[in-house]
Amino acid sequence: MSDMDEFLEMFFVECDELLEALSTGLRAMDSATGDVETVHSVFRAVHSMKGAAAAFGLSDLVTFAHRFETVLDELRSEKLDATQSVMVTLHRSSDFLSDLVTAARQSECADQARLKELLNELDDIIGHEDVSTEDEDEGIEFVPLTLDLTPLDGGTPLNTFQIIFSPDAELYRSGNDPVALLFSLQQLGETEVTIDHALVPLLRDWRAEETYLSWKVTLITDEPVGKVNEIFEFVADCAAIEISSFEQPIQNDFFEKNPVATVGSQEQKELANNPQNAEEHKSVELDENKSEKAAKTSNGPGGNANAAASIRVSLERVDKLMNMIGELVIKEAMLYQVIETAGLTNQPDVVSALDGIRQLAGDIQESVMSIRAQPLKLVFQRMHRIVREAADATGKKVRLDTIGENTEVDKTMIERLIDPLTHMIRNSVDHGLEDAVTRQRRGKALEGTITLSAAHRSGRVLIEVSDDGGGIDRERVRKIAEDRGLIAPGTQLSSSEIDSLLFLPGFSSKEQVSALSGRGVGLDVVRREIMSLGGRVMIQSTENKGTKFSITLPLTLAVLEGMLIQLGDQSMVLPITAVQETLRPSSSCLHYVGKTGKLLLNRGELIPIVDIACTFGIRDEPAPLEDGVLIVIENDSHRRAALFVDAIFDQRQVVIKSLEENYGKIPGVSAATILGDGNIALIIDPEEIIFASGMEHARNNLKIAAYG
Amino acid sequence: MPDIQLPEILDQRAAQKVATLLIEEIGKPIKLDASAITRLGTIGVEMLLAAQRQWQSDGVAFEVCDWSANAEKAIATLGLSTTQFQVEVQS
Repeated sequence: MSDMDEFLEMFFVECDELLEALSTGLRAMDSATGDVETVHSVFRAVHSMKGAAAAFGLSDLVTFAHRFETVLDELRSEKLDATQSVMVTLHRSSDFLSDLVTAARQSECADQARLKELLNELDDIIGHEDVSTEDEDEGIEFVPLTLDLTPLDGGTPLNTFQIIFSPDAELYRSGNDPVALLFSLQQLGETEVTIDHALVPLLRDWRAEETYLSWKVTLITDEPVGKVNEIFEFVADCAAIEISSFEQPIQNDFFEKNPVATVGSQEQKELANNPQNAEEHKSVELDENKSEKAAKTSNGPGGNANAAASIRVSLERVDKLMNMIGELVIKEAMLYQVIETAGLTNQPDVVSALDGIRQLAGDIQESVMSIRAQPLKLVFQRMHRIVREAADATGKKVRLDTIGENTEVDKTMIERLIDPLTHMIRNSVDHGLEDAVTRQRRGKALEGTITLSAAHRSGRVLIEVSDDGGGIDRERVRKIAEDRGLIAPGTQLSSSEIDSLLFLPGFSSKEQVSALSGRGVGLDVVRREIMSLGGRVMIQSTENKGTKFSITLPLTLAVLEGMLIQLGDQSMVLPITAVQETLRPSSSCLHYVGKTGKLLLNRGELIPIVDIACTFGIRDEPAPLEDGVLIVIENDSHRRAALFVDAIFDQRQVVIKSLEENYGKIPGVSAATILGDGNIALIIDPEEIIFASGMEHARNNLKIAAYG
Repeated sequence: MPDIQLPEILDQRAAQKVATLLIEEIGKPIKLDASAITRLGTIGVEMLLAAQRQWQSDGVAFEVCDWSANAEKAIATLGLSTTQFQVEVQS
């Protein structure tokens, strides 16, 4: 990767963060909780993106961000009101800005028609307020220049420097003070100091150890740049400092004419047209972003006062570490086994040392997992856009409420959740919510609400998408399923079974294909995606009240708490989350159906007994039930089965190794792990076993029906 | 209106102390006497700005009066003006 690529990649990562800040800010403005500071933060986000984009010659991005920023500036200087129509355009612009970044990232050309359309929309807003676009940058626009100290023509001895200075907390800690630095600058010549104190919070939230102030100083001096540098020499590593110079115009009333902005814009155009030059500027620009970001973290709405420094690490490295810790856990299990074989388990020293290692390995594992954990906010943020677009497409008024967006899940999960959630949200807007007329008739608020929530529930993550729409029209769902031959007419189905029909492949309740749904890519895809993440999807629906989709997901795809079981001469792992209880079968609770069907009477319910050794082909004939143990498992749709196993050894955390990557898909098996003795144990997929047991019973029942 | 005398040296440490005092007075009209200040650090100024913002958001009167010459100079050097440290409430 060349340096340029690296910087570009950094820029895109920054953009992602800025875009997030942008959309959060815009939403805060929507909800009227936003204050002037919110508008400022939105403005800063766009402004920073524009600045950095210029350094890379991304002209579409610069043009658009510039116009966008102009409107935001009108808002922040209160020349413009954030009316609903303005906000709609702002949201659209924010979405499009994100598209532009994506296009730039993939080196693609942006949608020019859309660009033009939105530019016009933004122009309209500016136009309404009768503001000329020429002077909007006054006092705000600043693009740093390089230190190009070519000798000045015309014999003027004066240099003009522009200094942007944002101190870190370290500057104060080391005993320095901006007052002294600014005072020294004043000694060099004529200065104009502009302070940016927009970040200073209310006293209640103020922290002496945080920094909230930054300065822009214009200095006209006959001293060379070296003198200016000298002043900042000792604080260079604890402040973001940009010193730029440009030629001094002849007039002395320089400040009044304010050519700073003009020079800045010219330079910027030049940059946009000349990427080679851009390289010289990028470090400066990125620095600016950094300081802005630092300021943002220390003062943002959810900002932690003690926001710590952070580093970016490639995911690959974290994965490698995770993998190595997996190996460590396996090695530790092996060590235990060796110690056991050597008969040393009764030595307290050995045991306590081993326990220490085990504890440590567990702690390391947890720490690495927390590195990989990311808040669901990253996914939830995107859903606002999906809702906006879906609402536009269907002409419905929809509000999205998000709850628990700081719930953390594994990074891989974050990426793979986007598609299923997008689909579910669109589904909720399109099918879940009624149109305005129907809602009015039913006495509901005209605006439909979709709630997206996340929470940790007993070691898993629960995500719910609920709407306050009409609920599932079960009669209609049933009819469609019958029409499409998905179920036999007249089949007895419970409400929840009808609801589950929505997840069948090929099910679409829309007779007409709309822009959003009805293309046959249905909830079955969502279910498959979620299941591939080790999760489950459920539906709950109440007529006229709404529908709720619940997704449960494991916290990580790397380890699993499992029950180690014996099947013939094989060891296998059963995920503990599925296990309800274990019992030794007694004849009083066993029932037999036909020749092979065995049922367990458990808590007033008859559940099928599955000899999984037979299922996996380890044994040909079922073993006598009294020789083993029954494990009652339940899936998320509350279907149960009793698995017959020879013995249960242990309950432990196992490191998941993908089988599909290394071998191939085995029905009934979700993955594998390596045990302490070096043997491979397969991890059973209880869901598939339950599903298969249902089929088995259906087949047996058919046999009974056929042969009497 | 309680008067609080600002200390001679209003640096980071003193700013923290004054802030603690002021937080107890939040919601009440207040007048700060800046006549004794001989050294006013940036963090001190920042704290006063935060206080002004707090009182402004609560809609309660806030005033820093009798700025010493040194304090006034520091304020100007930082690009501010002493009038920015006032909240007037119209009764």
